[in-house]
Amino acid sequence: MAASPATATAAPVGPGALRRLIRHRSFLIGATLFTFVVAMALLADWIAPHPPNQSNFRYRFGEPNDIYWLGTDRSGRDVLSRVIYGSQVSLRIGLMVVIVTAFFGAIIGSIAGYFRALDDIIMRVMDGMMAFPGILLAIAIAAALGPSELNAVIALSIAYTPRTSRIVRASVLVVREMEYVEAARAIGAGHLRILLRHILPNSITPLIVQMTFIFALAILAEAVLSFIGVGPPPPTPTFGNIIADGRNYIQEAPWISLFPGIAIAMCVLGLNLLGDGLRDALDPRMKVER
Amino acid sequence: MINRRQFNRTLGLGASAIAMSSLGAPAIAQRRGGDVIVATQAAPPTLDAVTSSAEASRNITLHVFETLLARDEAANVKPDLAESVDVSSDGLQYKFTLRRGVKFHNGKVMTSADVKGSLERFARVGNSRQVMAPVAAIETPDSNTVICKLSAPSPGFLEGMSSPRAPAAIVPAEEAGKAAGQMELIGTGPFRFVEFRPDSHALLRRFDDYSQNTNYQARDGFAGKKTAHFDSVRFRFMPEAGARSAGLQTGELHVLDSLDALSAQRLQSNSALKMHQMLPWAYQTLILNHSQAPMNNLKLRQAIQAALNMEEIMAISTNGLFRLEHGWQHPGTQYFAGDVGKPLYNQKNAALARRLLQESGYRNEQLTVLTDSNIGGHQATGEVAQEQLRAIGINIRLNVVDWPTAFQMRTRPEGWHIWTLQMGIEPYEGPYNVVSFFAGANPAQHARDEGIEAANTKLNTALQLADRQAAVREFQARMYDNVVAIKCGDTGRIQATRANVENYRPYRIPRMWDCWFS
Amino acid sequence: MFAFIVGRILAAIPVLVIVSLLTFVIIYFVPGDVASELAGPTATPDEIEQIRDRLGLNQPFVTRLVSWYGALLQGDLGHSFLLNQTVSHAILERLPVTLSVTAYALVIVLLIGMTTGIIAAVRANTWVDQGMMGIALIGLSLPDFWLGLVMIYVFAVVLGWMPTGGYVEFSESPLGWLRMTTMPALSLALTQVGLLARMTRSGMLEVLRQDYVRTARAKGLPGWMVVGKHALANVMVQVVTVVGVSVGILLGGQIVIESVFSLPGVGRLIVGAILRRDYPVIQGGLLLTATIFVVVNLIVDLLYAYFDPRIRYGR
Repeated sequence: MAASPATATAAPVGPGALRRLIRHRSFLIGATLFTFVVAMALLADWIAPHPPNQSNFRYRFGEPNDIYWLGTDRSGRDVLSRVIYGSQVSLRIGLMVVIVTAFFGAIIGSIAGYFRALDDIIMRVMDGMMAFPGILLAIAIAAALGPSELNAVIALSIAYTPRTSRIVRASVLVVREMEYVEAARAIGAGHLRILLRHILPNSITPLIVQMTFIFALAILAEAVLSFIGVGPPPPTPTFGNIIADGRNYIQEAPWISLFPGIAIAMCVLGLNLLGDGLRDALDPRMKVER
Repeated sequence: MINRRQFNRTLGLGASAIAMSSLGAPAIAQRRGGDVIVATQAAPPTLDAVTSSAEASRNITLHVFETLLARDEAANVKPDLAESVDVSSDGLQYKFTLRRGVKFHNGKVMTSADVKGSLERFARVGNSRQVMAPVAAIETPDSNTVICKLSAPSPGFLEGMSSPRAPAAIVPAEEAGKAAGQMELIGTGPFRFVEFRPDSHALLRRFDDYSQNTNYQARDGFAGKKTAHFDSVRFRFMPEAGARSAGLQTGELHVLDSLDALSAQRLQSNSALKMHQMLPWAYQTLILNHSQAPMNNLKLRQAIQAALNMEEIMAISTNGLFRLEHGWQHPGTQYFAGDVGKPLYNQKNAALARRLLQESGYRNEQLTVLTDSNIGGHQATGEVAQEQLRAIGINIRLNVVDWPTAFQMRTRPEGWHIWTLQMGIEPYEGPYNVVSFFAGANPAQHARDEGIEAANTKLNTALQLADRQAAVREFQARMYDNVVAIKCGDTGRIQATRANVENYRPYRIPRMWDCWFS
Repeated sequence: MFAFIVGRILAAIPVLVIVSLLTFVIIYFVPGDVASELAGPTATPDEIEQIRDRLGLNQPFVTRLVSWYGALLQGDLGHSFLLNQTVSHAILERLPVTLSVTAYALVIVLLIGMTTGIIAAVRANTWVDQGMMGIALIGLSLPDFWLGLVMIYVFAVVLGWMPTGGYVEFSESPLGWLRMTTMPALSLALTQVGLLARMTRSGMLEVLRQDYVRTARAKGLPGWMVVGKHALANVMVQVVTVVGVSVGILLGGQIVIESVFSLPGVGRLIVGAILRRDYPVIQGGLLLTATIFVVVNLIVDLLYAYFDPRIRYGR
């Protein structure tokens, strides 16, 4: 629906891009932040000081101390451990959403961009889906499917696939007019071959950039779903669930909600910086589209 | 047989004496005026009193509407709009004599026709309409008398008629004919309805023509002599607990219908606030599904009963505001069953539990605890119980859904084994809705239990109080011996006010009559 | 231009059809049952079944779809199961809250976002620029509902500057309205402020590097005039685009923010309806929010064409 700003053509990924990336300051900061969160998630079993769901009924709402670095919640569970394991769940959801939206976005977008006959109908459906604020659509679908991790992934993927589809379509529209595609067509290559061998690889750059932003959006959105109770069900630690656990005790035990919020911010900030860096490095002409 | 005279006396003239002795009229200077703001945690689904059993509705409607009979401070039945009740010796006829000159908010005087219409409405669209099921006819021999004729004795009739759960509100006859949710909110209460903005607020104003019940000296539960001092009462619906307690601290709000125990602890030293604690308010239960293996195995249910540590469950799920109590009726009430079942409550005996589990032939079948994230304490109860049962070797998982889903899932015999449920208004009402929850065609445990059925039948037919009390004892014994369901303990409730709200006394709802700003 | 406008309006119609279809399909699959909630805990399965019949929940998919569209074409969104109101009434009653807070947030976004972006562009690659863009990026990365909780704690509880929540109608007391809506509007706006600041900055920089701007500068025109006259007009295209996207995000954000700040808006209505299985309200709420979004974007498209004539002739 929103008139999209001109989405640029693809620039081939080459050694120059890599060099630009490494020198790009915000990319480096972003990569560091994000790597930190990813490391936290991957090493959860080793670095978390306590099991995430182990309650300690004698130390409920405990202030941060040297045993519970970030304090405890209403069941006496360690907030630090829950945040660490929460990063595992939240990142997993984000990653799955990115993969699914990229996959379907690539298929839908290239079909729409390449087969002009289907373009109108496909894009009208995508427009219809994008007419809902993404988070509202995700909440409604998640509520319809019932609270679970898989359903959160499905809901968010449905909500964000139109974005990736539009990005892919836009670049396919440009690429398909390029000379080498014309050439391939001239020598009688089939549609599938042209799409897979020539068009998609050359449309991939904006998609990659968009994927980092969708990753960030998905992590934010997962928190909202969990917060209102349609995400992965408690006691599963997710960032949103932990914030929700503490929402009634903001005054008495602010640490419960505070730290998962900071973790989200780190993760999303990291991804945003990373995306900026990727965009600048891979395709300097591309504008911010989010 | 009910002693008609004695009954009449208790319900009629004697009331004032009781009210005086238990409450005493305070000798503080009373001040008229002011706009009080009450924050409630939930928004009411409707203000059509008879149609809703929601606490959020009750909070407001019981200021606007009154009933023929109401509960006093100790939840006993007392006359309110009725002057007295005469019960025939066969228990089939209830003759209500109405108070004279009681005015509705529209200025009209209440007559027997209004009462008849209202009771018919109660029977038609009321959430507690089963109370009216035994009523065969309602007669109005004169404008001041209403007679309910029953087809069979119903000892719980007056308890049901007086319950605030989904109150049998008396409304003008012309409103009584209207469908649920369609009527004008006109009652006889000390406050009249002004405005309702869903999800935002409801506004009531003092009804200056209010007809006080001069048979009493002071307020008494939902009965008594009610005096409205505030000019208006604004109920604000604020779901966020943190925002409610912060609003009370800053003085934007004057009264909270509920304050978390942890916040209350923190605010205790704040001299600008007063905390009002009620215990018991409700009780926490684990409803067991007996309909399928392995839960149909008594030994397994006994293992569960033996394993649970109620202190831990209650401490976590209530943030410390609880009382360990085994009774399915509250201590100090008419139907309290004493120590029946007590040895089987809160055993926290892991060794015994493991042995029972082994004897049961349990083969690691997965059990599901069904709980919800909406109702206070349910989820924490489920989480702690899960941990405790896992510790004795039960393969158990938690299924957290939202309240409507949980509520629907539990009506099916499959898909769950243990369901967390808090019961508040039912034990307050007395034994009838507690016992019938486990009896009849759709018992909560999904399996007919002859012991419970017998107790329920006796409770609903015995005309002697002693027999009905025996029925409740038998019910409670059966609950423990057959592990029909498990009671975890009593939970409390804290209502809070600003310190300048004088003479406030906590009750099932924050009553805004007989209190004032200093 | 006229043909362009008509074309855009016509193009919105199929979108609305798809929106309404999606709305229906999603809600059809919502589990849980309003009937058992309405019936109460002591109800028998028969009673619940009767309520289901009365509400038409036992009818097959197609029947329900047809009757829904039938009513919809007459402007009837149905009757709420739980509120004793028609859905249209329930929504219209709450719409001013949601729209006014969204508008307020949008004003904040435009004021702060554009100012920051312009300053950053004019001072490009200085510490001012980098600091502002850093803050913008952090703002972009914070969950709005969490920010709301933190703001309640800091500004209402600790500092006591702001009320903790609630709503006063603008017509009742403009100042009261401002007090009640400032924190929710701010927490909603902050993410979008970051976005707009970044867009404005990059748009400005692009213009500032153009030859005609350099020429203007070389001719000795004062900086503010160069920025004001040439650059700003070109930046408006960017701004309008962001506004289109932002309105959707602000509307979506309200869903949680309204609960956090006890605002009686459409978002809270929808969340409450989801939790209580009030299907007609969920459907109506989804449909209306999407429609508003479609209309806003239609306006954005038109404005976009107005600011950038290439669009309307290019199509």
